[in-house]
Amino acid sequence: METDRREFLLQGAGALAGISLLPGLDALATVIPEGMPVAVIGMGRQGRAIAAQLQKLGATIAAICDVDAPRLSSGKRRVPDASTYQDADKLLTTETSVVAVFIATPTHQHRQVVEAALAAGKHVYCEAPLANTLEDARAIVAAARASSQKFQAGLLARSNPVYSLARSFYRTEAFLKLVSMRAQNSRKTSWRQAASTAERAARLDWRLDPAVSLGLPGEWGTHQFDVLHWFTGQYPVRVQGSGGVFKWEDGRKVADTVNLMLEFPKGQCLEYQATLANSYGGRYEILHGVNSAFKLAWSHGWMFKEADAATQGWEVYANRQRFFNDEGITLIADATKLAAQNKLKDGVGLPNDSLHYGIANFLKSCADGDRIRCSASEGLRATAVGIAAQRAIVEGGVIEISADDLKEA
Amino acid sequence: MGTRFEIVAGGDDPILVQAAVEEALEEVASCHRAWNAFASDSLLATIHRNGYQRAIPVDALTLDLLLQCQQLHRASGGCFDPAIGADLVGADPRPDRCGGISEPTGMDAVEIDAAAATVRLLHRRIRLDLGGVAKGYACDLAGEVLRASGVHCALIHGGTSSVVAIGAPPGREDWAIEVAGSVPERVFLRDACMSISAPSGGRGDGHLVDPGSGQRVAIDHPGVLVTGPRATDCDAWATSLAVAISRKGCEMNLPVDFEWRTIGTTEVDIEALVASGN
Repeated sequence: METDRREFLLQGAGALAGISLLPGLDALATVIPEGMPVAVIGMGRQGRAIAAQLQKLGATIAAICDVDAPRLSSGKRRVPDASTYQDADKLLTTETSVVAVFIATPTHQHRQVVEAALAAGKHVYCEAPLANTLEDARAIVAAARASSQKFQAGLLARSNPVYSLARSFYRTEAFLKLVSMRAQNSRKTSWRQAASTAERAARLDWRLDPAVSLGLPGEWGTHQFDVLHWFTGQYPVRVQGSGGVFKWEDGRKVADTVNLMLEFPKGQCLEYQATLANSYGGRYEILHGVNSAFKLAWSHGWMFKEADAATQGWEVYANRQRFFNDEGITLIADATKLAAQNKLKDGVGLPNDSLHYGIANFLKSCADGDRIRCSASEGLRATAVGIAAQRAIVEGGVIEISADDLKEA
Repeated sequence: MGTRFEIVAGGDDPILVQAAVEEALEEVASCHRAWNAFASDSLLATIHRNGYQRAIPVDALTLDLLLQCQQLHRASGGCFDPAIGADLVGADPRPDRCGGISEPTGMDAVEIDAAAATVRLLHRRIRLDLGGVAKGYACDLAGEVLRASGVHCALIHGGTSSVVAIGAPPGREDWAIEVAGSVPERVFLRDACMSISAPSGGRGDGHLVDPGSGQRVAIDHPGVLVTGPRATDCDAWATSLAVAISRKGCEMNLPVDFEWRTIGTTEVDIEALVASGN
């Protein structure tokens, strides 16, 4: 496509608007209303991370819950004023003032807690994937639909300001047309939980239990697949892959390394790799377009322009970063405002963790009725793709993802 | 915290020990993410950006650390003061160095509301530099994780200057830590912690700042080694005592369960340290 000067100016203006329309990032930290007590159910690593972000947002954590006593004790250290429970049902019936509940239990235990929390009249934030089976995920969606309370799935890209900014460019000439996608999550970790006894370890290491675990495709991939779902507005139609245990040969059956190919309806593919054996590159997603490529790494994002792509007006302000032979334009929310204040180079990443924005958006929805950033239905569809991807690893071959798989009950 | 943390640990079940060590290191990483002033998404960066305009809510661990800093600041007679950033050295905002502006400065300019769990900076230019205490705090947290996970034999160090010893290596009474220097010496630890601070560590012109003057402590002053039950306190007291020595004295209130002495070097020998754990 040729671009004349008039189109170029329009593109530039559109892109500029895309930046300046974003809300002030630090302002998000001030939206949490007082007197809105919340509870966190599941005080493992993710539950504790949620609690820390809630505290940074100034929210009141009235209660915490975990069936595992040492974890509850660890949680209490971080939330000293909270009431403690080992039974989620008891928390929900006792803590009548709690308005919203954050659920960070093992994936296969989400359904029961979500249904109970919604039935108790609480707003619910549920970690993703929503469940380890389609049946449970659909039941969660049905419960959310039947409730007048808010429900948000913990797929964080949809609340992330850097990702929102990139998505606004995705829909313009700056990106033009999707060619291919690539994503990875690399961390060197055993994926085991600290535990004092083998019995307790067996209970906490549910991610390594083939009977209930969605493995790396489900537990990690779901979050990253959803980035591509959200950008493209499409879901893959088939997935194939392979994996194995290459590093942690400790008797586990769940693969520590997986490679997947997810094919989207128009033929473009997402190449995905996740491993527990090597940390190189960390976690990111890349979208290759005709005019540019986006690399998104949660707290940071970059646009890599093709040489023949039209120049955008806002590039005057752009902060750039060198990556070997490529130069990335840093995607910074509020860039125009920062440039006007001559602060563009002060920080090139988000001022808060991704989780912070997901929680802030959810609480704002609960308080002000704002739109939920990731609904139960969207959570279901991402979960369905994660389940199919794990099947591709376990069963081998090609797994078709039909429209019915993505449907609610 | 911009430094390397290492853990040497042993136990009957290597799988459980591995998981415990990973969780302990994750605690350290979490501390780094929260208190790294150089990362835009850290809590400390948020406090620096907005803490003068409004009270910033903080998580329980950050609140706990800052309250401990406040206590240590008072007990050390002001020799320990994390509320002076490196950018303030030589451009100190205190009244005698800033045109006579009488505003609170240093840790006194950090308002901590424990009940509301918020922190506010009372001076626009105050910066928190937790380098003198955060390593110790992170080591203590890592130690808690290991103990809670049933690990009874471990050595944790942060940047080779903060150490937590849990139990002792098999067949030994304690962990032997070699403190390198012109005259190497050994420190023996069992269920105890230690920290070293010396003006000659870090950059060429020294890394220790006297919060009273805003100037770097001359590198020819001796370092200090502190042992005691908590690495957080060891860390802060080592810094405080090194500063106090450079001032040729200071009224302090060192708790009785901590011991200290001067040393001629800055760091323990990491090779010897790791080897002693094997």
